[in-house]
Amino acid sequence: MVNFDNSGPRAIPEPFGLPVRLIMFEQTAQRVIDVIVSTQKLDQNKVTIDSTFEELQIDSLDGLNIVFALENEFDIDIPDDKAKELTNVRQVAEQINALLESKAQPSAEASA
Amino acid sequence: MKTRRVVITGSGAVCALGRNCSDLWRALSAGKSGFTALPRYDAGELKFAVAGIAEGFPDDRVPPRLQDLTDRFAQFLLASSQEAVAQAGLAPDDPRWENGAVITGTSIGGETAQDESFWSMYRERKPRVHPLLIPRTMPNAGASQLSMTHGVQGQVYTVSTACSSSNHAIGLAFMAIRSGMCDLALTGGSEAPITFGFLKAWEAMRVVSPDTCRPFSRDRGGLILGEGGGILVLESEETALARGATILAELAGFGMSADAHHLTVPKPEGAAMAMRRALASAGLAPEEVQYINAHGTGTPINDPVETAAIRDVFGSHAKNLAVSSTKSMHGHVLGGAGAVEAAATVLAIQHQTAPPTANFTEPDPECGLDCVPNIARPMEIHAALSNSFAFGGLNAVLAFRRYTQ
Repeated sequence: MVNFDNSGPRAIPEPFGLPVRLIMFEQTAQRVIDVIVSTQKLDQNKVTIDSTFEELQIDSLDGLNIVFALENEFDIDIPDDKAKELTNVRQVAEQINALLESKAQPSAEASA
Repeated sequence: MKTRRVVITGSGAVCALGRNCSDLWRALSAGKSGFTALPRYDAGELKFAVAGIAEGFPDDRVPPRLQDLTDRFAQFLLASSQEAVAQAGLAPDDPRWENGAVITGTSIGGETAQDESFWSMYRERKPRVHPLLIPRTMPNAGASQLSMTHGVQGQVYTVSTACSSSNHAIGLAFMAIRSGMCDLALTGGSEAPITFGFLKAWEAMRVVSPDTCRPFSRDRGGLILGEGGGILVLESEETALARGATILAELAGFGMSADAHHLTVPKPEGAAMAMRRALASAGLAPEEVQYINAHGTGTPINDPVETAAIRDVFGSHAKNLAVSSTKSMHGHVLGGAGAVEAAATVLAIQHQTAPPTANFTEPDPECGLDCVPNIARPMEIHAALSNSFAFGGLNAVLAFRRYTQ
């Protein structure tokens, strides 16, 4: 069993590849949901991976708050152009996973 | 042409003495100081230990969502406006809101939000500040929140003239109604100065008392800082009467002046000029005034200068005046001072009682007026002034009158 801790993003162990990434996505998604719930002071049960910002009544100002909280939670920088594209929870989790992966593999990012 | 009269139909305030006008009056009439211990700051020491802190605030009048969007200074305005509007009995669909005014004063705006954010960045090396820092900090944040809360779409803005901010704001709202530009205004101001960096800045000016505030006393040692704010509902007399409103008092006049003299040293001639202009604006003879809510900071220099100015304006009538400083109880609320003191002056007129100058010990020959030492005094108050004088030499004086048709 893979031992997860919540201390922050880690490099992905090569041999595990895809399965670990899937599990990590679940974990990322849950943390994203937790951040949205606490930032927006929402009911925990109302926010799922399939929720849209529109459904959750998250406006542009709320979006700024959420992005700020996510940057702190994951210790990443979400660029302005990426932040503007976010309209639902799944997209946020995917975007953050991508940023975590490129952070964990800086050389790959640099050569891309 | 007949001058339009401006009346006060609602008043709300939050300060160290309470979170509404009933509590404010209970403390003022008891001569009770509301100073409490400042928090200990990890960042360093302060040379003074107390301030006028609004305990239990923000309360449920500022819901969590609005607490997120606003700094404490704007929250004082939101809560005060709810009290004032409820007292005035204004309906949300009153047609006068659309062209109504919101004019507020603050000296520093969202200093609390700014101080916390910059601390986290400079000291804790946080890589980013809160994204709402700009809209929380802007000095007009409170006025904008009142506009959105009450649906006011006329002239909405904020003035900043240090410790005269609220009196300038209230005076401008008074002029807007008197001139016929609008019939309804929410006006006042607020300050949230209890933050380490700002307290150190006041410490550096060497005007803060180490223990308490004793205006007009021989042993006064300076001012005590306070937080809070207040909002008045102003209406044209005609529209207030037409809707059957209860009128608390008349806002009868407004006078302002500038010393054109010194950044921090007040000049009696400047203060006197503002008081004379307020009397003229109200059509009041000096002898018609019974009470002055003094600027009365309790600093060695303000109190004798203010006394000299009052003697200059009122001549032999000065000795008949009750001149108290309620800053001895709620502290110096800076840009919000005029608003809290306007609430106090309206209460004084309503209760026909002059609030005292608390903590008074012994007279100072340089401040020889009757400062209503320590004990509130029931008396006839037909007309009253409320003084505010600011660093930078900017003076603003409001004239209030007991309302009679």
